[in-house]
Amino acid sequence: MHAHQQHQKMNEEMLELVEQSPNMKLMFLSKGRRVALTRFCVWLMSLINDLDENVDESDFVYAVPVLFVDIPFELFRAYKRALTGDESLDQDLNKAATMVGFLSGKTFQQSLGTFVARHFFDSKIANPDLKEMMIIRLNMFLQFQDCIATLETDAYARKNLVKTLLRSFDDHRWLCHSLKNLLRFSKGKGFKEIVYQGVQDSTYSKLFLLKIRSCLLDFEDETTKSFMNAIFNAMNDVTSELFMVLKEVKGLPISNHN
Amino acid sequence: MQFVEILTAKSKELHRESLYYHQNLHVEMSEASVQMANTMLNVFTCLEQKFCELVYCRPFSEFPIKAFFIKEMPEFDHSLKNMDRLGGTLGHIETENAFLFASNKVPGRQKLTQSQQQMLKMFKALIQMFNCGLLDHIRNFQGIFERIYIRHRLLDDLDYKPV
Repeated sequence: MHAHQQHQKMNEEMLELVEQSPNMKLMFLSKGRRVALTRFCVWLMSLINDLDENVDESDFVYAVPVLFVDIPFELFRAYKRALTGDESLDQDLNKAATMVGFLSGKTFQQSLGTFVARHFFDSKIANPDLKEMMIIRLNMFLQFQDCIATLETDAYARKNLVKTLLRSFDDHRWLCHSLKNLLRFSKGKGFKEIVYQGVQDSTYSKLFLLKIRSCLLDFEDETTKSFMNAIFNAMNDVTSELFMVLKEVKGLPISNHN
Repeated sequence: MQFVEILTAKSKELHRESLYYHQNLHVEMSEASVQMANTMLNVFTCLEQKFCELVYCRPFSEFPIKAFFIKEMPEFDHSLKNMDRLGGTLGHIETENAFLFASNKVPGRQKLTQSQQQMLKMFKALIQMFNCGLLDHIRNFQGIFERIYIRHRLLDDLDYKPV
């Protein structure tokens, strides 16, 4: 298809999509509704975290319906990504209204951060779709600098996030997500990337980068060994694939698209 | 509470109907379904105010979350038995953690106070309203925005000129 036609088709599709969007946004413009939704989700997430932190009964958390976890994460994603883009809708929320009673200790972001740091790569989560979803949820969290800052303050994440992240490379099924998660700690800070005008897409975490460094320098550590193993295996696979492609294109005439 | 229960049942029914509607007509966000979500969100907001007074000022341990997974509890909702759990099916989790579940099946530990029963009912209603009235809309809405974002990036790629 000609570039101009492709452009026009995409513009038309964009227009169609934009026409569909305002109704839902209108629903969330009332601050009272946003407070109610946020407060309920903070409570629900804190309830699950509380169950998780109970030493004797923490395994009960795996019996919690998936729906109870989906609800807060979907709302958070809507607030962060869908509704306003860069400027989240919970920015202008009256935070005091959502921090009542036993909810006064944590924000929505903190309660989600605690959960995702504990379960984004959890061997007790059996369903592969849910497992993938949890890794993607960490990625969603790492796309925002303020969410990374939240993880940096979480005691469990400070201690375990990097090791679990390196361990997640063992499973080839989620390699692309795991790699994205790792790169998020220094995205847009040193790698050669296309930088789009008006898109603030860079994230950085000095704390987690230092933890990754110290972990990788510990050569005898099992996590480091298996991470390096996974990386070299993946590179081997990619190189083999590349040579296969090069073999296929060898001998083909070079066409001039211009 | 009765009114809330009727509303929740109605929301379930409407949700089922709207699912067929989506399947038959391939409509993602009709005006009628957005109206319904709007109404459901209003009711959710009102009910949450009551939930706020009743629950948020109490410790988390007072909320009977176990009624969602200890089948022997009188309040266990058998319609939720086949619902997906974080660790797989409920049967599988029960087998994996047999000792833990057994220690919670002692009859004295299963009795709920009246306020706990009320909390549980209200919580179920809120979850149901969110699930039937809002969750699909939020997901559809996110889908629309993600498609806009991807097209925007593609258009940027087409226009991109290296400096």
